[in-house]
Amino acid sequence: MDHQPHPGVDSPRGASVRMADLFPSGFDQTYFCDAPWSERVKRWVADRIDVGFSGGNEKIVRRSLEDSETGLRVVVNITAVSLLVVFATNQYLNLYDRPRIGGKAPEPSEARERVDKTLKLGQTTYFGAVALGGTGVRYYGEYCMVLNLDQVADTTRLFDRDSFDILEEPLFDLILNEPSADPSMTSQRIDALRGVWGPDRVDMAVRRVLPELGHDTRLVTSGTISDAVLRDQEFIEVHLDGSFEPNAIEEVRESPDETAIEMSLRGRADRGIALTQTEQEWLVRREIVVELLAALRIPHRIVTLHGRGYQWA
Amino acid sequence: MGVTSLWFIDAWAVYDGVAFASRSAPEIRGTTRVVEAETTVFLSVPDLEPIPVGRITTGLRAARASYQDGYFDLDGTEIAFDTLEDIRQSVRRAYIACGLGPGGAATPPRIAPEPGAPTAGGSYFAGALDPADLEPDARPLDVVRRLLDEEPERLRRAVQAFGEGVVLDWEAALQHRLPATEDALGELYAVFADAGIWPGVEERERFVNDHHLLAGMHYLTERRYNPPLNPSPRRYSTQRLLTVAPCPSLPFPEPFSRLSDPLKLSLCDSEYLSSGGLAKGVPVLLAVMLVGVTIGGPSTFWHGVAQVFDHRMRSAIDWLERQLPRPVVPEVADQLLNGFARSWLQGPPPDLPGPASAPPSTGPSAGPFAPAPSPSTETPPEPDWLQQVIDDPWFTVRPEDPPPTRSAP
Repeated sequence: MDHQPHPGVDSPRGASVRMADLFPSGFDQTYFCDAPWSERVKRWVADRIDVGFSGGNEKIVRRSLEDSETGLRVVVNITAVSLLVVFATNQYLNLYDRPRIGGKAPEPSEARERVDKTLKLGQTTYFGAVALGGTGVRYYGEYCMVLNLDQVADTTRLFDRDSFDILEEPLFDLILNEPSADPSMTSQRIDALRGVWGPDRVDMAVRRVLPELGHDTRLVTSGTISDAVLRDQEFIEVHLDGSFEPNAIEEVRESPDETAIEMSLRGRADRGIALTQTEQEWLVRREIVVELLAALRIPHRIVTLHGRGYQWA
Repeated sequence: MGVTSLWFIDAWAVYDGVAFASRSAPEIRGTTRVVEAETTVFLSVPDLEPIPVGRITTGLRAARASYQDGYFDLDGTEIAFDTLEDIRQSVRRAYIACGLGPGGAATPPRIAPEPGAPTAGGSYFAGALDPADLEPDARPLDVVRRLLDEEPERLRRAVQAFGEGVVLDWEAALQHRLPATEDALGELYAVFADAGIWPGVEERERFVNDHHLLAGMHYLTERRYNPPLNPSPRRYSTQRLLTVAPCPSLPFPEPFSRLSDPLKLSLCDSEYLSSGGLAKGVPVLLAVMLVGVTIGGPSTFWHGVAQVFDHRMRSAIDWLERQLPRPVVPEVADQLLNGFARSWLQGPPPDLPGPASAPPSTGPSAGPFAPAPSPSTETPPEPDWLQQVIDDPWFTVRPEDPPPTRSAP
């Protein structure tokens, strides 16, 4: 692979000789390298030392993410029935370890197997995302469980993206697709995208957020930071080593979108308009969840994606 | 889109009505080339409108987060759909189906009646039916429509009798009184009164007095419940009341745990309303009259009570027919959905928390997955079970109570 010199990589700040070999030249070499995440942040800032607000923004972002009360958390999205099962069984489980309707696939999906094998993920790995406020990844469940900071082991592994992204180009060609992917490089490339909760979570998130900001003109605010840490399906994946109990849940969050739909349906019903059976069923199940969370004294809040609800609630 | 492209379910949270689906060439499914899918969408209740997802990997990862991994037939062959609409219908039907039965998901447990043994309410209903109207081989909605058009008085009487059978069975189950239970039954009386189940105040008071229905006398006679003049604040939605009200059991067509069961079954089992005649049609009709009628149309201020009631029945049938499932293609998927609904009628899957055959319930006082073991349906509930229900934090804990632990209820 071509090694294109990069100011950050080849700067006197001490770039690893091997880093540019890990990923081709089209990749940002200050990010896709084997340096510690803290070093990657330093290099990014050093490259932009003359850009007006970059230094100030780095401090603000770091301060927001580091705070133990309001900073980064592990969030796990969950569907309504699965959430009820968490409290009924006293444990977070994947309800769908076996099919609930239909039969089993004759063999595990090749795609999933390769992801699991490459990332060394096992049956006891449970998945979350790193977040600052917000409601997690809605697709994976309308309820977002926020785990207590002290319930997440410092050794918990992180991956800087959805692990299934390695099935997509360009990572597939670099990591999984033999013979184009050099097998001897696979683990190094994967390791370059990995981190560990204790030492790396803040730096990984800072490195993720900084390129998203407008450093030429202004300082950032926490709503923007929240959005940049986890946006849509783009997130830092957390690989929890084992399940957790309900007492690990700090709070359950919901998006205003769900609440708006609920209020709209209830408004129609109040005006005497008959809802469909599916709509009514959905409302009943939401009632049950609300009552459960209230009974168990688990904070249940509606927060905005950009963090304003999180800030001012 | 290639001519060979089909729709597949990538991941499905069956109990929660959410799924990822992709359109792709069948030969790439299950391989690492699965990412070459032409499009991927996300579907979620309540509207199940497809939301495009940028990449299929988002859907594939969902199996790590409370989703079933794909959808296969019992032989392990992945089920392919011609249209996305068939997948939407599958997701909707399964979602409704898992609220069925004695231990339906996110619904309080309720006893499964003895097969073949009519309850008091069931016998009462059966006694009000004219055998000539039953037509057990006919489509229930055909019989109902014909009666509504030709002899509405007979249909009115059947619906009223079935509603009265519901409260007879619920009152009989109230040997162990819980405040929440009585409130729920009281609200059902109010809902019945609002829906015009009784033509007037005298008829409903006569009914509860003649049958010595204590809760009914309390709510309707002593409190002088009068819906138009004195609307009471409601604690439970009507849909929720249906999930805790009993369904009068007949020797035919089959016993149900909940008043909501026949309604839900008709919306998730594509064959349920293909036969059964009036005995099947009336329970469904009553339930739909409570949850599926838009307020409007004729009012009793200008029209007769019977005319208003007939309008409600007609609206209810329209609401139901708009949502009836058509068979999903392929046929194997349709059969799996029907079988899934039938299995929930018997109880929740054994590895779900809570009893597979639920304890008797007398109202919405028990939680979605109740903690109690099930006594035989032939024996009365044990005091320790009752205590567990009372202690159950799902419905009985109030803000002023001390907080329960966060362990499993």
